Amino acid sequence: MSLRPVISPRASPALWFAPLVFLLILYAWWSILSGTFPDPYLTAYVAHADDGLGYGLPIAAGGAAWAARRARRSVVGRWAAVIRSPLRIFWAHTWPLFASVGLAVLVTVVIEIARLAPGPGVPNLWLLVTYLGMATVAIGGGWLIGLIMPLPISLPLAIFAAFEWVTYPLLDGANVSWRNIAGYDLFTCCDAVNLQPDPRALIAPLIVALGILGAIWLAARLTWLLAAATSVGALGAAVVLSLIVATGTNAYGGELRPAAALNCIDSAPTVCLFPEQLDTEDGARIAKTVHTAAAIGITHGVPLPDEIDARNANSRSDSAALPVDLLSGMSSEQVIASLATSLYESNRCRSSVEVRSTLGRDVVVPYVLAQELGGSKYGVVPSISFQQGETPGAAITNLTPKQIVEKLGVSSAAQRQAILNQWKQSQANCMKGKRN
Amino acid sequence: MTLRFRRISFAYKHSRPVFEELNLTIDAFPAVILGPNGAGKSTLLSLLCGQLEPESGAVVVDGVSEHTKRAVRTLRRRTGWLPQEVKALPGFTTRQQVAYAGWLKGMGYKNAWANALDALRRVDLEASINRPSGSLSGGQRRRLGVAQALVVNPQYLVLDEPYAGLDPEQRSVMRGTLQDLSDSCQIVTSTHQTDDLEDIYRWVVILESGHVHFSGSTQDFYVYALPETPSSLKAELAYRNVLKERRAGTPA
Repeated sequence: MSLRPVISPRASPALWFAPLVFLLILYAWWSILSGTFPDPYLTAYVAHADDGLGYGLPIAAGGAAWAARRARRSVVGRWAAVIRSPLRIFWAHTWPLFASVGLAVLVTVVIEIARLAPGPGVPNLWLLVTYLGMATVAIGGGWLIGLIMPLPISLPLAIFAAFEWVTYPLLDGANVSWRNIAGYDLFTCCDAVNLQPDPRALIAPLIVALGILGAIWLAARLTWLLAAATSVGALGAAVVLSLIVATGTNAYGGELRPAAALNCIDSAPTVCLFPEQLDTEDGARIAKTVHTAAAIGITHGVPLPDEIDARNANSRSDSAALPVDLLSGMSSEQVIASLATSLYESNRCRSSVEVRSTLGRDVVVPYVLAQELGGSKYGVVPSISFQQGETPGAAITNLTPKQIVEKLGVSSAAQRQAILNQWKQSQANCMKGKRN
Repeated sequence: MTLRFRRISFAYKHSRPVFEELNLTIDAFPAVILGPNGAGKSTLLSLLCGQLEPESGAVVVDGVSEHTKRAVRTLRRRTGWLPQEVKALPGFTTRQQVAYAGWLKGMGYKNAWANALDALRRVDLEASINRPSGSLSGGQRRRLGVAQALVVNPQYLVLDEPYAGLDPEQRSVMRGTLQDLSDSCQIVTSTHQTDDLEDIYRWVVILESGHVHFSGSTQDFYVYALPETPSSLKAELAYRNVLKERRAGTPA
């Protein structure tokens, strides 16, 4: 294979734009995300690169428009009865832009690894395929604009159109999940270790990319009017299909990871965490906290299941395993508060515990459970009050932990035991009622 | 080799038809297509090299019809094409432009790069291989176009007005080039130049308004000139007489 490029550097606008695209992606990524600290999770690091693409790809679209204008002379004009595929010609003229995008993504991931040190586990590499699709949409879109319009119009228009695609003004007020057809919201999909990119959010931009490639192929193959009609048709159909696929995704294109991704520590109770947490100091500390809390809880009569899982896509209230938010970096108090809250919420029966506190049973009972699991008097309060904050009203967020504990009115061991017994009894009655 | 245009119909968008059920056979090469402006010469050559596709009918080369996409592709690959206007690609050297033309024709770029040097040698542009193609003179650019057509080692060479815009000296160089090439490829050209007909071409076609007024060997064509006509004027006179007779309704 010859190393000589088909388009020489002197004649390649794509090559001239490539360094700018590379630097812009890195600059935007670093400016926005250098202050964020996701879980030590490779998928999160790969997802973060997405944020830089929103700024680099519009410039790549401009470079593609210029390259297309130059290629047009040889491709569209009656120059040489061409038989080379339109997609090969597109690639020959624009590969430096794709290369710079790929290199920039790689550099962001390497810097993120060096900065944050990931836990074990394999990242979700489908993100990279989606980035390729997003690059294809921007660069291919710029190419199409460059083929049909003169340079003074096509260059700014390609940049503007690609930037509009990033910022979705046409979708303002529409279903927020539709924004995932562009792919630029994926950067926050997976900051927590129990999240992964939603496959629908990964596929939606790829469908648009296929539509763009189809439009490029059709534009060069048919007579002008037919080419225009079929190209617009192919692109329109791809966008509609992409919108259908994206419907139902959340605003950041993420979802909970499946239970199959969990690895368990065989002990009593069994604690299951994600691979990035296991075999790390942080994961070992979380597992140890859960074990200790469980041991204390059992002595106090707290009913605990045999298995405690980090919350995942398969978590259900009726499953044998208790799903708990066990995220990297949580303090011991946060882990205990999370365990108590999950225990309270996991039961399908509405608690009928009567409490005298104005904060209500949805705060009192989790607090009592946290205390019985070994949580400190004030240390668990911020996590409990945060998680249950909406139930008693906004007033709770303005109180100090000490003031909240005073309002809870369960300072003595006897009071806590009474609440716990009431709760257990109400759950037993409820379950009995359901069985009957 | 035989070349047949069988019941070809073609029209540009929003224009009256250029050809309606055109039938034409060319049995000997090099062949030249003569005719006034607007006769359909360039359109006929574009149909021949697969640049345009007929609305109906077929171009049949050596008994193989170019009906199918595959046949068109094969024909394009085997055909070198010199359009009327040869554009320089900005930023390309002469050799890069010729190699790029070969690559667009489906060659691997390594082969195209090697062939480009050979093609430029054949049109006497070897000294300009590293010059920007945009810096070539009009005559050199015509020869660059021929090199682009030659880079694929074509079986057929289709040249649309190869002498257009050339001064007498450049025409002479181009004529020599065509004579050399006629040994290795089957050449079909269109031109308004008739002074070199006898030296180069073995078949003559005369087109006017999409109709074939004459198609035959060069010897048969010269029958339309008076025997005593000086040889330098014979072709011009024969051409005029064919057009005159056809316009008067006499069969050629």
